[in-house]
Amino acid sequence: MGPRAFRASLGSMFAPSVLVSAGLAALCAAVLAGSGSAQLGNPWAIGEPLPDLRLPTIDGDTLALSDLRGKKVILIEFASW
Amino acid sequence: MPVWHRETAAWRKSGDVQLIGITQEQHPDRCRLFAQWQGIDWPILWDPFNLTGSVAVPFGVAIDEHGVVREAVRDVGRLAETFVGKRFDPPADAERADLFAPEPRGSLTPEHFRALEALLWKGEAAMNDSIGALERLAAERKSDPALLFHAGVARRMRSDSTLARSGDFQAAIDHWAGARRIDPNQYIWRRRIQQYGPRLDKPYPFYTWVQQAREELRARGETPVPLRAELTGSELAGARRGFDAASDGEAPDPDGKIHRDAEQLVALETAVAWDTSGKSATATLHVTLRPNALRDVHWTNDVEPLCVWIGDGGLPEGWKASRRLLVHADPAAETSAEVRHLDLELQLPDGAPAGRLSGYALYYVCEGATGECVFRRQDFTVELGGS
Repeated sequence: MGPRAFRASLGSMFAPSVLVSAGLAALCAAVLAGSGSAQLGNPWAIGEPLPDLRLPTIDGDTLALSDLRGKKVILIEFASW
Repeated sequence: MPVWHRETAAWRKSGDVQLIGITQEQHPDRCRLFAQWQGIDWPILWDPFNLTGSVAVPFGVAIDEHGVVREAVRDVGRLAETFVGKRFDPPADAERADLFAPEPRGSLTPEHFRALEALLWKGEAAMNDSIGALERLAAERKSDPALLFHAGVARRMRSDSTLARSGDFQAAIDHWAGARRIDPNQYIWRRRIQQYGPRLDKPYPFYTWVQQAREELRARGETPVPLRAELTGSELAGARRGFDAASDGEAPDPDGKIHRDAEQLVALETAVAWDTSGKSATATLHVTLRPNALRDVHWTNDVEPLCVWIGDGGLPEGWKASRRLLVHADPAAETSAEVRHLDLELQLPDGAPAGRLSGYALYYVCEGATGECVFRRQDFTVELGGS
């Protein structure tokens, strides 16, 4: 089984609210606590497992980062402007 | 983004890499239009609440097959050497890490999560309850800027929905401004205000690409993704270094003879977004008009266009306005029932960042498909309380 960041089992075992809550808690806690963000200016910390995150896509689907386990991923945060 | 799309094309095609986007934009359909225009075929997650906690964008990271963040991407092309062609060992503590659930150490309570989650997945069905919860929590925890930002996003969501209430847009701006006052270094939050704010405060134009995108898509034979909330003037305006004041012009109803909209055929709402830099008392005044759907009210587009006059009786002493008369570009259709928006910029004299402004809107509307069409005036007053 993969690391915490890619908890595929969570996605199928828990209700969506639990998954989202836990993932977001970790992410937002990292920001609020300042961990990770100090290194990159953003919450993703180098060398650390990526916290899971489940969000809607702009097309109305849903995607959890844990769905991508086993793949190399380039994740880009951006705005269309 | 086109650079990332282009530079990673071969890796994506071979399956070596999955590219994922996350956008924090308030309006996801604008990013959909952008993706359509650019031919982007990889998933883009919508994170209007900025749940990733990012402080600025664009920002990219490379994540290995074990889910470990390997590097912040500053040069996509360089990833061929440092990431794509490289094998990574699983982290030594992978099994241990796997046993630990993420620990919610921050101030995001389960109720807070539930409200955001409901807004993201249930939309209008959960909107009123979620806004109520977020604003109650924000009132209880006044020092939590994220709650304020989230409440603002939710209010703006409702402002764009069929559940829109008068004051939603202003409440959104006020919540965002409150969040920014607590944490002025959060640029995702700052940009959200600037998007609707005055040009003097703009780091760059926000959506000037939209017109080009629509033209090019139509030329390609495609129908551009429709935008639920049309772009406002301030979102399309380029940045400015100075304030361009308009001459007074002529009031369209100087004697106030046009009948008032006593039947409330149109709901008029104003919102003020102040300059976030604090360098000048400059603001964008938004005027939004919604035909009364319960009475099946439609705009009549084949007569004089909807207009708004600002500063009825003159502007207060020392105030400047970028325009006094705002004229809406009505659609070609004979009738329509869309939400309409007009905006202008105001500059108040130094030391007096507050005051009252009056104005009115003039519009032709019909009630029902075969109902009577009338020309009506609606007066309004805006209190500018300063930033």
